[in-house]
This record gives sequence, structure tokens and C-alpha cells, in this order.
Amino acid sequence: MWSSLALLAFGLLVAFGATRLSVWRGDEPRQGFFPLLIAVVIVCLSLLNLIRSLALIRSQERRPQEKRHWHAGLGRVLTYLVLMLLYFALLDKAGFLITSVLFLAVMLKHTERQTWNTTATIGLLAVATGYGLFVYLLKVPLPKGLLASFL
Amino acid sequence: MIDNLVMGFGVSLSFQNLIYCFAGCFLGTVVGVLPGLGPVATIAMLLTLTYKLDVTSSIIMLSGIYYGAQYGGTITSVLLKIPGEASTVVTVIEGYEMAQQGKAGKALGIAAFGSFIAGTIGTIILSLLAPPLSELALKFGPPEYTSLMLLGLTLVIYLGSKSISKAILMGAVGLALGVVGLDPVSSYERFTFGSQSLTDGIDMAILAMGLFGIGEILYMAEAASSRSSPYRVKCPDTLRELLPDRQDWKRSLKPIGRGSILGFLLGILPGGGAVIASFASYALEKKLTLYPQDFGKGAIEGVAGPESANNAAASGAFVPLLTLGIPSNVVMALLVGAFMIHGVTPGPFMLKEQPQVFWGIITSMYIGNMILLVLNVPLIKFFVKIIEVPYAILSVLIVFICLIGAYSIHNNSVDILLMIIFGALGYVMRKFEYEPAPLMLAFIIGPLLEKSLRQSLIMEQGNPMIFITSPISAGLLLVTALFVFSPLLMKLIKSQRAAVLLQQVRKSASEAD
Repeated sequence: MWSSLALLAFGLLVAFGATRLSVWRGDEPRQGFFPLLIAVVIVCLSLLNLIRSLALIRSQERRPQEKRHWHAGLGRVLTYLVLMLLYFALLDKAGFLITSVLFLAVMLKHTERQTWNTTATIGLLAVATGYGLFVYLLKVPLPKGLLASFL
Repeated sequence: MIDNLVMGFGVSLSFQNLIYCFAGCFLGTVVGVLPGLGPVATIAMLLTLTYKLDVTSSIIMLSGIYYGAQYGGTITSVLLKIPGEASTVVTVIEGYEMAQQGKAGKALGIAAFGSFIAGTIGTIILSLLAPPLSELALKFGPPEYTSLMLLGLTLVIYLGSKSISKAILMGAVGLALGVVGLDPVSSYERFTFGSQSLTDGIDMAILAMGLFGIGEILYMAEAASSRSSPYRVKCPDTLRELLPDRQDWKRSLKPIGRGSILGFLLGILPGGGAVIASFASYALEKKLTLYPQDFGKGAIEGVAGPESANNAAASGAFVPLLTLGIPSNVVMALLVGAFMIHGVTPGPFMLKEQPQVFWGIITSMYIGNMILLVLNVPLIKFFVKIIEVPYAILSVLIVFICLIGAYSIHNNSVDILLMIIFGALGYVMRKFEYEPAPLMLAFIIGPLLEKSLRQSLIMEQGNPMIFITSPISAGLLLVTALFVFSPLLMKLIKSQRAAVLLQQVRKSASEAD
């Protein structure tokens, strides 16, 4: 039900945006035509799925176990997401090397419960390989951040 | 044709392209061995690297990952009872049984040789079919292209998805995401919300890495505790153990031949591909075998046929991509994206305007198949070792590669944020059983579809009858309609049959009274 509602909202958003553009002028479809077509498909199918979901709920066919399955393991997923967001937030300020070392250390030691030896070996190897591959081989200027004066 | 092949080999046998072909095949085999990490996620992650390479080298490497993964998946299917790829699920049935009887080497050997033969046959047919198909495609105008892309999308949705309504929805969402940026006809800005970064649209590599890379990792991270340790049988020690004997070849040659043709034909179909090809081949061999009692107990035909079919299908999948510019599955859609990164449009004009790219890619597949045979026969023990790397470490490394990869596209950390958002979306989609493949395919062909649709309507002053008056377009739309309405038709036929049956039962009941 919630996914159908989310998709319905998305479809209505696209339809709203499409109608603000020109849909048709004279004999020609304009820039709003295709998005409006897609929006109609999304809205219609989402409504259909929503009606089906509501009918299912009403007929009491939903098993209570499904809810528990949804929450099991969610903690790990949220940990991954939070750490990735922190990586994004720190990358420009702290630089690639510091941010990557911290990220890999926390992920391997805390989240994946590896030993300090494994964390240090894999972490340093990954950072060094990543730095070498992207900076020297592919010439991608990774942010230097706090180590700018040393690099 | 010989001249074209000579030109192609001139390109693919260059030192740089040989290295990239080897890298792609090696990576593909590694990826095929690792369950959970498929060629789609790997290609998505490596798209960012291809920004720095030339177009031919990029496609050669990415293609190598695709057909290499078919080889790699077999190793774990036979030795560990774990299908490395969806297309090697059926190999578990007979391959693992053979391994338990001490014939792991023969199973792996026949799979490797069969894959090589089928891959080569597939590439030869591709070389023969591509030029005339490209000539035919030159006759396609905007209405024909619109109908063809619609058919392609429909087939991917109907043949490759568990829930059709969910797959259609994902396709529509993909089309909607493809609309962000500049209008392909009038270059008008749409859905950019004033953001400069969105003027060029959502980056395909970011979306792919998010949905398939990060999304998959998040989904697997959730299931981490329930992962069980694999079964294991003895890995072949010597090269001799891997060589099939005369009897094995006698039983396998025809299945390899049939699998090659069947696989290639199914690979051409959008939504078809290696998975359907392997299952279809298994079913065919089971019907045609002279040794039906062996099936389910280690029949070598049950390995030779499907393994050949999945590799031939990988070659077949290149036909619509290279000749028409239409991707037949998600991997091909990512390759379309890789072409576009370099400003090259795959399709009939590529053969005319950039024949060295076209033939370079085709000839690299001959070389790739040889490399894979050489890699797979002696290096099996090495590849089996890879699966011993804890998934916990692999998942962290994959996330790390995706993070740097996302940044490296435009040297902008906002791309990392976008990738994380798409990753979360990919995870949620998997939880609610929405498949990301139709979304990705629709996202990539959406702008092409819109362009040809609007051009068709502009040509006929807004009259949609142009799609019916063109015979090719009408034929393609008819096939599309058949697929769209076939579930409804089947339901109608079944309910009519049920009504007739009920009437007969009532009649005989009343007569009995």
C-alpha cells in the first residue's frame, strides 16, 4: 500500500510538472507531452495497485510475520547509509585519504566486526590502491582537504 | 566481410585492447564466481572508469565482463552447489551431481569447452548477421524506431519480470527519470528545479551504481546473518582431470550445437537472454536425450547444453545493440550508456561511420572467448579461492569503490549524495519486490523513445495513424499488443473452457438424475 501511495504521489508530481510545460501546440507535441503520458501511466497503475492492496488488507490476507521481516536487519542497512552520508559530508573538508581511512576503519571494525589486523591491512591496501588508481592512473583530482599542504 | 574482420582484428589485437579484453574477461569470471555480485553491478561500478578510456577499449572491457561472468558462474554451480549467476542455476542440477560422483573436472571441462564453442559460433553468426541487419535498420524511420523500442521495453517487462504491473510501473518511473534535463527535440529545460547539475540530466552511471551497486549491497547487508556456508566437493587438481573423454564428447557435441543456436536466438530477444536460454536448453536436452535415466543424477548433456546456451545468448544480445542501437537487457542498456558517454550512438550508422569500433568490438569477442578458455581451465582453483573471501569485506570494498567512482565522474561530491539516494531507493525497491532492471532500461532508451515518438508525430502533423500506416511499425505494434493483452486473453480462454466444462458436468449430473 505504501509503495503504491508513494508512486501515486510521484506520478501526480510528474503530471503537475508536465502541465506547467507546453504539452501541445498546433500540430506538434511539445516538451510536456511525453512526461504527461508517463505520468498518466504511473497514476493509473498506482491507483490500481492501491485498490488491490486495500482489498487485500480488508480481506485480512496479510500475515503478521511480514512486518517483522521488514524490520529485521534494518539496523545494518541504516548503519551503512549513515556512514556513507558521513563520507559524503567529510570528503571535501577532510580530504580523500583521511575520510577513506576513517570510513573503512569504522565499516570493517565496527559494522563488519573484523579484527584489527584485517581492518588495518584491507583498509590501508584499499585506500592506497584507490589513490594510485584514481589519482595517478586515471588523473582524477581527489580532494586533499586537511592534507593539502602536505600533498 | 573478410576485410571487415581483418580491420576489426587490427583494432582488437592492439596491445591496449588486448589488456582491456583480458581485464574484462578476468573480472567477469571473478564476478561470475561471486554470488550476489553480477555483471550489472560490476559494469555499473566500472562505467566511471570508462570516462577516461576510448570508446572501443571501454566496450571491449565491459563486454568481456558480461560474457566472462557466464563462465565464472559455472565454477561455483558445480563445486559449491551455489549458482554464481542466474544463468547457471540449471547447471547446479546436473553439474553438482557429477561433482559428487568425482566428475567435477569433466563437468567444468565440458562447460568451459562448450562455452568456448558456443561463444565462437555466436560471434560468427553475429559477424554474418550484423551487416545485413544494419542495412535493414537504415530503412527504419522514427515511427519504426518508436514501435521497436516500445516492443523491446514490453518484452523486457513481460518476459523478465515476476509482477507485470510492478515492472510496467518501474519502466514508467525510468522513463520519467529520463525526462530530467534538456528536452531531446527542443533542448528546453525540464524538471531541473533550477539546478545546474541537473541540466545534463541524471547521470546514468550514478543511477546504475546506486540502484545495482549500493542497492544490492544494502539488501545483502540486511540478510548477512542468514548466509549459510557452501557445500564443497573436491576441486580438480590436474589439467587432465578437466579434459572430457571420447564418450563425454560423443554425448555433448549435439547438445553444444543445439544450445549454441537456441541460446543465440533467445539472446536476440529483448527480455530473453542467458537465463531463459539456459533453462530452455535444459528442457530441450531432457526431451531429446538418449539417456533420460541420467537426468537429475549427473547427465553431462544437462551441463553441456545450458552452458553453451548461456554463452551463445551473451553473443546474441549484441545483435540488437550493434545493429539497431536497441538494448535487449540491462547489461546492453548500460553498454548503450557507455557508448553515449563517448558521444557514439550504437546502431546502423555506427557500422557506416565508425566501422573500426563496430568490427573491433565483434572481433574482440573471438579473442575474449579464447582468453576465457585459457583462464578457466587451469585457474579454477584460484577462482574457487575467491569465494572464501568473507562477503563482509567484499561488500565494504564495493561500497568504497562506488563512493570514489561516483565522485570521479564530475569531481563533485553531490554525485555521491545522489548515488546514496538511488542506493536507498534500490534497496527499498527490492524490499517491496520492484525490479530495478525495467527502470534502468527505460531510463536509457527513454530519451531515444521520446525523440522518435515526437519526430513521428511532427512528420504527420500530430496524426498518430503514422504508426499504423507504416507496415513495419504496424507489425511491431501488433506483436507488442499481443504480449500486453496475452495474460487477459489466456484468462478469457481459461474461463470459457471452465464454463464449458461446468456446463458438461451439470448436463451429465442432470442426466444421471
